[in-house]
Parts: sequence; structure tokens; C-alpha cells
Amino acid sequence: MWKYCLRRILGMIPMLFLISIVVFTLAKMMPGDALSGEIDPLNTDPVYIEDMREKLGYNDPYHIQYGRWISDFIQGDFGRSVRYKMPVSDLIGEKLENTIFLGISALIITYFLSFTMGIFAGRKPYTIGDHIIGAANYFGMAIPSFVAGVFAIYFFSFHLGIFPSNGSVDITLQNGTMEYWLSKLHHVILPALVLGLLSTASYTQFLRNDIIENSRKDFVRTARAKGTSNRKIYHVHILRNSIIPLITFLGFDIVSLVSGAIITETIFTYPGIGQLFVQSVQTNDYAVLMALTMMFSCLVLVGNLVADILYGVVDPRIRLD
Amino acid sequence: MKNNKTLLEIKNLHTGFSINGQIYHAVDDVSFEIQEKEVICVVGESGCGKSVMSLSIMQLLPQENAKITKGEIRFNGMPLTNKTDKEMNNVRGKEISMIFQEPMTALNPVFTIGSQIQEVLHNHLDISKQAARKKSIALMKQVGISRPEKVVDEYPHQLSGGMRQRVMIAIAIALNPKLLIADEPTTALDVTVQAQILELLTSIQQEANTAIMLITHDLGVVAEMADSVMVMYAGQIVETSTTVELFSSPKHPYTEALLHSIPKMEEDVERLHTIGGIVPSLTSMPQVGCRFRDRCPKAFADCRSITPKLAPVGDGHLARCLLYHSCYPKQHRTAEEGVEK
Ligand SMILES: Nc1ncnc2c1ncn2[C@@H]1O[C@H](COP(=O)(O)OP(=O)(O)OP(=O)(O)O)[C@@H](O)[C@H]1O
Ligand SMILES: [Mg+2]
Repeated sequence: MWKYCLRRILGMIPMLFLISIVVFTLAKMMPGDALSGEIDPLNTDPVYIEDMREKLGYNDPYHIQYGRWISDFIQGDFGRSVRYKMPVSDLIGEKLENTIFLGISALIITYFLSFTMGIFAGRKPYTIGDHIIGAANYFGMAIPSFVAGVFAIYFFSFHLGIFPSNGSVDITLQNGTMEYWLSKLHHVILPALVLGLLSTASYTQFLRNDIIENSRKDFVRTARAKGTSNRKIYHVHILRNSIIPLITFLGFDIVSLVSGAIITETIFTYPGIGQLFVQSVQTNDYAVLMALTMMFSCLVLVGNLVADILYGVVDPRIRLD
Repeated sequence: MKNNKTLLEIKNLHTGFSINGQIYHAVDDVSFEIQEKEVICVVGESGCGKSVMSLSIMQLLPQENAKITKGEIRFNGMPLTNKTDKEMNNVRGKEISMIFQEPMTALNPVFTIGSQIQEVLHNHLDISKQAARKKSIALMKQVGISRPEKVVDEYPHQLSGGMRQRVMIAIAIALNPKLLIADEPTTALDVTVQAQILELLTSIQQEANTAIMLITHDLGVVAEMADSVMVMYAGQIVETSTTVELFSSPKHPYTEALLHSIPKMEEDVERLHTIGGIVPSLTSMPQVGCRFRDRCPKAFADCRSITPKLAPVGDGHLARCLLYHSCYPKQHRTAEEGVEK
């Protein structure tokens, strides 16, 4: 198992190397640099700008620039954000906390809703309840998350006024107090709901179909022949088999959470890395942009590794070696 | 095995499948009894309703399209057909248990062998985890699984087909049921393993006095194990008697054909006897007349127009064939005089 993980992690290195080249090239191909975004060209001496470019190494050949960037990157120095005037690592660290909180809340919502609905629909397929759940899911799938987000803000924040429409916490509160955490929770519910509902529909339908399929398997008949209750057959025998394919979703989930977070955080002006990413694109903050892109790529690879490891844990037929 | 108490009594059992909104009977008016400690074999070609009949007894029919439409099943005098699923759960695995045709898929792939044996114990007994584990290991030993202490923590995919079928048998006999239904327990296994499994079943029957209803294609197995035999064709019983009687004087042409199709060592076999044609499908079942007539070498005019009933043709010997007077339905008894065997 540990050997397997180590091998997989080593296998990621060439991938990450390739990704880093792509990221760097794309960043360089984008128009302008950090200076063109931050300095007013009408008020500043062009010689000074040229000097700064020279000093920051923007005029060096690309491969030297790349070498410098990647070697700093590996050592954990992601550069400085020209917009926030602080090290990128500190900046990301600050925002990452919020995004992780949002992501986990969204996952909990997804899992809770899809398991409840999926098991219900799978146990009683082709009944009214199943049809209602199915219809609700297809409806949910058809609505883009930005529409859902805007609608949620309009209805819950402006109309009913029960949830805040922006921010991650009430800034007047003292960090660490009970009120502070409750406020965080209060702020995360709406964006987490919008983000969580994104994959709920596909989870629910997948789980439903898998439960129906498994309920026709021979081992279910064996369990019934043993006198096992119907409840236990569904909640133990069938469910334990049906969660196996769902585990592979977890790898994709991490990806879809990140891409979903970019949209959701922007709509809710929630200060997470999704919002930071959009800002960094808008302000040519390349150090941040490159660090975030690298981080997203790592997440995808790690997500898949986590999914594969979990797969081996839940399915005894799969051995990781 | 005569003069025993009746264990299972089936009367006019009809089990139907709904196909395109219409009900077709895969088990059509089957009545028989199983005595305590008896070994009864059910033979017949593929598709003649043997599995559907045994699933009807266990009430394990696929719920979405199968149903017992008529008839009565009594176990120890207690009717099973009107029991709820919950009430049946007290019977299944404890009073009646079942072994299936396909051992490769019969066990749940994600649970250990031990936990799947222990489940039947926990379902019916108030037993501690350690005690159930001990008992499951003892059961595995009893059904001839070597190194049971190790196998108890293994998963089904780590075991061969024969071993899995032994596990299924361990589950089935865990609570000393009075009746064990074995639906072609050896069909999926290779020959040497088949013999071992059958030997195991015989020893269980002798030691624990369990009645066994054994479904099989193999008449050799019947001759060796059965006290009595039931021959099924197209959802009906066409002949039933003691084993000795059936082998020495088969009455129904279908039984004769089945016996004929056993390859015999001592004979100079020029060709293997097979029965031409196939079992009619549920949707193409003849409504009137004998269901075997199109494949029957002895068929005559009446076989098309008159439906034979199952009737005595000898001592404790029933058959369903118009070659015998008693099989004519009452309204045709006048015609009976003209028909000599
Ligand atoms: N789930 C089902 N839906 C529709 N028809 C079915 C179903 N199961 C069985 N049948 C039909 O019922 C009839 C009897 O099938 P059954 O499985 O009892 O045969 P069998 O005697 O056990 O055959 P085998 O020796 O192959 O096991 C067949 O005509 C079959 O097509
Ligand atoms: Mg069968």
C-alpha cells in the first residue's frame, strides 16, 4: 500500500513537470506583465519601468526565467503578489482555508442529499416518490450554477434576508469565538448549497440505478434466503456494493469543486481561492495565477490518487500493489 | 422412508410471470408432498420450471414480475403462502434453506466469508459475535473447508467455485433446517468436485435428518441419492414415484426418453439418445392436450385434443399420459373404453 502510494507519487513528477511548462508558457503568452497592470504608464518614467523589468528579470530568455521560477517554486517560494504586496504562499494560505471550508460543506450537502434521495428512489423504483426525485434532479441538472447562485442571493438574501449574500464572516467578530464560527457557518451555507447541488443530481441518479441493478444480483437472493430483513439487505448488502463506483467520483469531485468554486465564490464574493484566481487573471498577477494553476493540477492528480486508494480500501477484490 | 410425517405439502401451486401485461404460468398446478428426512429429486430439462417452483416455496420469486397466483404451500401444517415477507424471514434460513445453482455469484463480493455465515446465525439466534465466529469456523470445518480459521477472514473471490458452494452449504445447514432445497448445486462445478458436494449433502441428510429437495439434470445422481423422484415438464409434474420404481418401470414417454439419454458404459453406443425438439416457451404453451405431444414418439390423436391429468398408474406411482386410462379427465371417460394401452 505505501509502496503503491510512493510509486504513484513518483509517477506524478513528470506530469507536474509538463504541466509546469504549459502553465509557464501560457502565462508568458498572455498580454502584458505585472508592471503593465500596476503602474500608470502616463505618470511614470519609461526608463524606470524598463529598469524594473530588467531588475525583475522579465527581459531574460524564457528558459532562464522558467528555471528561476520552477526552482523557487519547488523550494516553496511562489513569488510575491504584485496586487496584494505579500508572498503568494501567505495569500493562498489565507484564502485556502475559506475554500476548503466551502468545499467540505458542499460535499457534505451533496452526499447527504444524494444518499437520502438515491437510496429512497433505488428502493422503490418507478413509484411516485422516485419520479418526483428524478424530475427534481433533472431540473436541478439543467440549471447552471450561476443562475442558481443569483437566484439564491435574490431570494434568501434580499427577499427573505435570512442569509448574507457576500463575504465569509462578519468582520466585526473576534476570531476564535463561538460567534465567529457560527458567522462563518452562516456565510458558507448559501454558496455551499449552490455548489453542493451541482453534483447532487448525478450522484442521486447514479446511486439509484446502481441500487436497482444490485438488488437483482444473486447475492441479494442469498441474503434473503438467510432470512435477512429487507432493510438490512438494502442498507448493508446493496449499499456497500453501490458505494464502490461512487468512490471514483470523489476524484472528479475535487476537480469539479475547484472549478465550481471559481464561479460560486465570484457570485457570492466569497474570499476563497476561486475568487483569488479570477482576480489574478484580471490584474495580471502572474505569480498568483501560476501558483494557483499548479495547485489545481496537483489537486486533480492527488484527487485521483485518493480515489484509487479508497477504491482499494472499499473493494476487497482490488489490491493495490 | 415411508410412514413419516409430512413436512412440506404443496397443493395446486400456480406461479406466473407477467409478460407484456399477461400472466403465463411457469409452474402450472403442481401438487406434491415431502416427508420428513426424505430425499426427493426433481428432474427435467432446462426451462421446465424447477427453479421457479423452489423459489415459490421460499417465496423468493423476483418481486417485480413473478407471483404465486393460486395454490397452497404448507410447511409442518403451517401455510406459507399468506405469510408476509417479515414472517417468511423467520422461516428462511432457519426452517427451510436453499442452495443455488451458481456459487460464483451467490456470495456478496465485499463481505468476508465468515461474516456471511455469521449473518444467518445473527438473523435467527441471540448470539454474541465471538460465539458466532466460533460457530462459523466449526461449520466450515463440518462442510470440509480446510484451514477454516484463515478462510473465515477471506473474501469470496479468493475461493474456488467448489469452496464457495461449500460455504453456501455451511450457511444453509447452520441452523439445522428441516428442509434443504438444493437447486442444481453442482451444475457449475467440475466432475470431481460435484461428487464431493453430493457426498457432503448425503452425509448431512444422514447425520442431521434433514429432508432434501434436490433439483438436478443428472439421473445418475438421482439413482444414487433419491428416495423418490418427480419428473417435471413444461411447468407440470408428469411423473412421480419412488426411485426404484421409476428406474425399473418408467411410465411417461418423457421419463423413458430421459432414462434413455443416459449414456451407458456397457452398451455399444452408436449414437447418444437425445430428445428431439425443445420445451415449449411460456408464451407458446399448448392450451389443450399434452404438452409433450410434439416431441413424443408415442403420441396419438387424443394427445392433441384431450388434456391428461396426473393420476395413479401403479402403487404410489403417478403419471400424466393418455396411454393410461386413469389419466383421462372425467368427461372423456366414455372414450376411455376404446383406448387400450
Ligand atoms: N424472471 C423471469 N422472467 C420471466 N420468465 C422467467 C423468469 N425466470 C424464469 N422464467 C421462465 O420460467 C420458466 C421456468 O424457468 P426455470 O428457471 O424454473 O427453469 P429450470 O427448470 O430451473 O431450468 P434450469 O434447469 O435451466 O435451471 C422458463 O420458461 C423461463 O423462461
Ligand atoms: Mg433452474
